[in-house]
Amino acid sequence: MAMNRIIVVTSGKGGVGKTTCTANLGMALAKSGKRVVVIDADFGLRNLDLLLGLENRIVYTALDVLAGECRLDQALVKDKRQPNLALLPAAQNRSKESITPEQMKKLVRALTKAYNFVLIDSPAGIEMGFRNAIAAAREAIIVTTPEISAVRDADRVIGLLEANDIKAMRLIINRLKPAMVEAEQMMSVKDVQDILAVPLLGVIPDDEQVVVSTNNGEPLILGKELTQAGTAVSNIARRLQGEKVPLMDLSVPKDSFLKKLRQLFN
Amino acid sequence: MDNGAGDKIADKKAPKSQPSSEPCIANAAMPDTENPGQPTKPPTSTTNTTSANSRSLLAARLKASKNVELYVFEEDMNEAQESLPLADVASLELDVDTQESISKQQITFKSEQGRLLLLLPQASEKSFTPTEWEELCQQLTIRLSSGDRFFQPNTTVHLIARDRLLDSRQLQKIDELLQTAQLRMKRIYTQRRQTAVAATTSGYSVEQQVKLEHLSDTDDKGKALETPLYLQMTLRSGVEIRHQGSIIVLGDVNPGGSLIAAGDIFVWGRLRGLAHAGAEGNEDCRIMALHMQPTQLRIADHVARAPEKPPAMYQPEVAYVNKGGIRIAIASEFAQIHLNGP
Ligand SMILES: Nc1ncnc2c1ncn2[C@@H]1O[C@H](COP(=O)(O)OP(=O)(O)O)[C@@H](O)[C@H]1O
Ligand SMILES: [Mg+2]
Repeated sequence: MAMNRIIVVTSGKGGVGKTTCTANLGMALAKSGKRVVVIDADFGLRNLDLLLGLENRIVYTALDVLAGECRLDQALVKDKRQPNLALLPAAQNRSKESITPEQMKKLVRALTKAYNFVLIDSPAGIEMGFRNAIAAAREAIIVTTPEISAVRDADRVIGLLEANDIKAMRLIINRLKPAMVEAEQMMSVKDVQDILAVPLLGVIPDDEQVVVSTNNGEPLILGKELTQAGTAVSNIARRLQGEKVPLMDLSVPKDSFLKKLRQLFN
Repeated sequence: MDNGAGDKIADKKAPKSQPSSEPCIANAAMPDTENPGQPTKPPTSTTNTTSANSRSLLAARLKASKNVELYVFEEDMNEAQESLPLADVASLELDVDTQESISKQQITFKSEQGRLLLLLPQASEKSFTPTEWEELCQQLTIRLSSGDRFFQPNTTVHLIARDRLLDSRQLQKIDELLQTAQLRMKRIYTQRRQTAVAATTSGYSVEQQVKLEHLSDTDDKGKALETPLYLQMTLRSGVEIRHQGSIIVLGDVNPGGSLIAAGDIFVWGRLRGLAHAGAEGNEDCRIMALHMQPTQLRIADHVARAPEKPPAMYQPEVAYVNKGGIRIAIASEFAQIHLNGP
């Protein structure tokens, strides 16, 4: 068994937070001293560079490496803020079919020699792009939101991963809104787990700061003061490394509602 | 904006709303919790994720037990902690195939004595893969719609197919696309018997060539630039235009769009994407834009990013190379200094 970890971040459904999780998890792992490379496997619709604020530093992409136009290390974009983190960008101007699972494996195999963690950001869907993303992975992180459609797609993906012999799977439930869960308007963590039955890696609350950080290209983890979502991600990074970190309390504090009411009447 | 080693992970930093530091699991919708106000115990169960039926086992457990609220993964991966000494990134090697770089070539239009020549890109694979074919059609559509002001209606087009294999369906598709710009495909130049047969049966005239000697085949790599490519369009994310000469764009280049020219680049609009002038190595090439706000600029082998702080006001600017690398000057001043010199 090889030592280094190759993890695909995938979901089936688009827009549930795969790229957000990859970027932040990559940053969190790097911050804890691991050497991390994040790979954008979303050819044609790349985003990971944007979330990391590295878009304008891309000179070569994975395709240029495969074509022999540059060396692998030349295509890696190093993060100035966190030297342990590097990005291997996807090509934006090509389709998902422009790279094969074999080529992906070749890239990842080379990268594992120099990095403790290889995180692969998968595109939505279960077609070629997905197949490329999972080709080299040994583990998977399933990202879903507590919505029926997302959970349904995640379930399908879990089945496909099992069929592809990726058995080490963990679940991130993203964008949970505790108040809605309490009002029984949203699936709870247990509801989701009941269906998916994949060990839980963590729960990330819905958090406006995520959008802000996306727009600024500043991962949550870099913030001075971690928000709830930031703490959740950093806990996930620790669990990923075998630490036992209890889940955060995301319940809506009972008194805060009363307090708000009181404030209203004062 | 350095932010790194100093910060420690805020593991114990509880969210503001959390009253106690006691870890607890939130699940308000849980019906089985006896004491909803009390923090519950951290999960104690573990699972073996590597076993094939771990999922169903877990599902069974979840259903059977009233007390298991959340199933938190606990790693059995401690052996992965002490890792091998890592290799230096620069030492990583990959065996590559150069097919990719060939497929970066794009279709080109050339005018020659009042006719248009449409040249298909060269490739090592002679027949088109479905992806390649789709990309080619997209390229052709973009070129046709961005230049249609310049095409005289009913101009005849000669397709230079080189040694690519085309069936009659594909020939008809090209013809259909050309017709959207009121161009007519008339003659096909090919080195392949198969393509020639397909063309004849579809009613086009055919010139079968053993080896292209004339008609501006780019086999002998002349350094002379092509005539400028003039495009009227918005270059959206994901569109890349390559040209063996200068490129003029009447319109915007959005982030994610790129222009790669062997010559100069002029953007009569906002340049927000990537522009690479002198892509074959000519450092004297320039990039001009009415509104210079690029993701990245490249001239020959030089790369530059836009300054972090955008200027208060945009005015036409020129990017050029001097001893220090890529520089940007206000267009009118640049003209005075660099263009009207002795
Ligand atoms: N925990 C969260 N709270 C609020 N917004 C989020 C959260 N996670 C993701 N988002 C937002 O959801 C959108 C989609 O996220 P993204 O990571 O791009 O999804 P995917 O990669 O799965 O398509 C983005 O706009 C992102 O800012
Ligand atoms: Mg994404």
